[in-house]
Amino acid sequence: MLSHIQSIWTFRHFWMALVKMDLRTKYRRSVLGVGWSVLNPILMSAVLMLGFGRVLGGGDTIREYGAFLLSGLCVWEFMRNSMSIGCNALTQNEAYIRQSPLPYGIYPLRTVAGTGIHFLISLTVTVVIVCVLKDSASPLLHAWVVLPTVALLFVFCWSLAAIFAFANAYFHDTQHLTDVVMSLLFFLTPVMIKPENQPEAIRAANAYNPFNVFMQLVRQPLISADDPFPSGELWVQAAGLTAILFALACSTVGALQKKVIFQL
Amino acid sequence: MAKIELDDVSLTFAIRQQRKVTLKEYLTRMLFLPSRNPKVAVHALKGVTLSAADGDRIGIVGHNGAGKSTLLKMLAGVYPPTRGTRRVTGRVCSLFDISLGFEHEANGWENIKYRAYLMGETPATLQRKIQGIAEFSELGDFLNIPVRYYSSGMLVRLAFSISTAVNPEVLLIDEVLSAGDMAFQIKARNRMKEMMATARLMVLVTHEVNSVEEICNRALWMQHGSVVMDGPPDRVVAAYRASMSAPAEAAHVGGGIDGSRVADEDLHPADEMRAVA
Repeated sequence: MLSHIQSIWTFRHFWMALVKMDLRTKYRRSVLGVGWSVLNPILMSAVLMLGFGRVLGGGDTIREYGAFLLSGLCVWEFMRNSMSIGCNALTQNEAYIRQSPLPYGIYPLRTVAGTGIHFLISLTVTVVIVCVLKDSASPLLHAWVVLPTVALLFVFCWSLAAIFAFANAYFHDTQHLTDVVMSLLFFLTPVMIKPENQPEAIRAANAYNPFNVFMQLVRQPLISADDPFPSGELWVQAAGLTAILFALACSTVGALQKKVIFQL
Repeated sequence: MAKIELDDVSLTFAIRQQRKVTLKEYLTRMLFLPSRNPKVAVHALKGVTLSAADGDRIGIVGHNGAGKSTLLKMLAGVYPPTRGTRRVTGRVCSLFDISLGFEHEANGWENIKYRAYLMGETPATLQRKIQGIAEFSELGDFLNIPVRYYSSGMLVRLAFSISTAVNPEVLLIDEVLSAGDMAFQIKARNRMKEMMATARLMVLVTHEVNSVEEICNRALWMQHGSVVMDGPPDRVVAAYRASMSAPAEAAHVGGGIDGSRVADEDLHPADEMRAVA
C-alpha cells in the first residue's frame, strides 16, 4: 500500500491538473461560475428553511434554525457527493485506465479533491453566515476546532469514494441504490431535523451513524458558543470510523486492482 | 537496462454475450438454474513466453484478433496476466489508442499537460518540451480552443506529438505509423525512427509487414493468442506471407473463444506480477 501511495504522489501533477479542470468545467458557461459554490449552500438552506422551518425548527428562531441547517448541509453535501460521484470514478476514467497502469487510488482522489474544494468553500461561507446569524464572533474564533475534522473527513470520503467506485464497476446498480439510500439517510441523520425532534429510536440509532458523527464534529464548534469543543468520545469515534473505512478501502483497492479492468 | 520477460503468460477474458446482466439473470443464478447469458472465455493470449533485452526491435505480425494488441497492453501493465508472470524493467512508453483519453472540454495546451503528466513528466520537465510539442503538431492557434472542436486528424496529430516527446526505455507501438495526412505521416515516420533509435527496447505491432523487415531485428508471428514463430524478420514475414496463400488455416479470425462457462475463480490474475517501471 505504501508503494501505491508513493505512486499516487508521483503522479500528483496528473490528477491535480484534472481536478483543476473539473472545477473549471463544472461551471462552464455559467455567469456566476464558482460563485454557485458559494451560493449553493445559502440557497439550499433558504429553501429548506422556507419549506420546513416552521415545522422542523421547533421553538428555534429563524436565525438559530438557519445556523443549524447551514452547518449540517455543508458536511452532508460533501459526504453525499463524494459517494454519489465517486461511484463513477472508475467508469469515468476508463480511457486512462485502458492506457496506462496508474495506481487506482488516483481516480477516487480526483473525485474527492473536487468535492472537497467545494466543501471548503461552503464551510467558509457557513462560518461567515453563522457569525452573522448568531451576531457573534464565536463561530469564527472556534473555526480551528473544525480543521482536524476536515482532514479526517477527507480521508473518510476518499475511502467511501474508492469502495463505491469498485462496487459500481462490479454491480452497476450501486449508484442508483446509493442515491436512494442517501435520500433516506438525509431524513434520518439530523441534517435538517433537530435531534431532539426525532423519534427516540432514530435518535438512538444515530449514535452509530457515521455521517452524524462528522456532522456533530463540524456543527458543535460553529453553533454552540457555550460548549464549542466536541467530546473526546466523538473524536475517538470519528478517528476509529475513518481508520476502519480507510483500511477497508485500501484492501478493496489492493484486492481488486488487478481484476477490475475486466469489469469495465 | 530495459528488459521484458514473459513466462508462460495467458490472458483470458470472461465476457457475456450480452453486456447487460438482467434482474432475471440474478434471480436465476440464485435459483441455481443454468444462466441464459453465461460468461464465455476468450483466450486472448495462450502460454506466451518471451524474453527481450536492450537492443531488441521486435515486430509482431498476425491476423486481426490474433492477440497482438492485447500482448502490447499486457506488456504495458494495463492488463494483468491471468496465468504466468510478467516482468518489465525500464520506463515504458506506450503508443496505442493514442486519440483516446482526451479531455474534450479542455484546450490543446491543457491536454498536452494532462497527457504529459500521465506519462510521468513534471511541470519542470514539460516546460522545456511544451513548445516543441506544439510546433511538431503544427496546430498553431487551434491549441487555444477546446479539443472537442478538433477533427479526428487534428486529434491524432496532437496525440502523436505528445506521446512521442518522451524518451522511453521500453517503447510499445500499436499501428500508429499511419497518423494524420500525408505531410504529417512523413514527419511522423521520421519522428518514429528517431524514437526507435533512442529507445532501448521496442515492440511494434503492425500490418505493414514491410516496415517490420525494415525496422525490426526480430519478429513474432501470432495466431489465436499464441506465438507460432519467433525469429529473424525476413524468415517470419516470409512464413506469414506464405500462410496467407493457404487461406483455410489463416482466414480464421479471433483468439480462442470457447463456449464453456467460466467460474470467476478461474480468472484470478497471477499474484506474482511485478512491474518495475
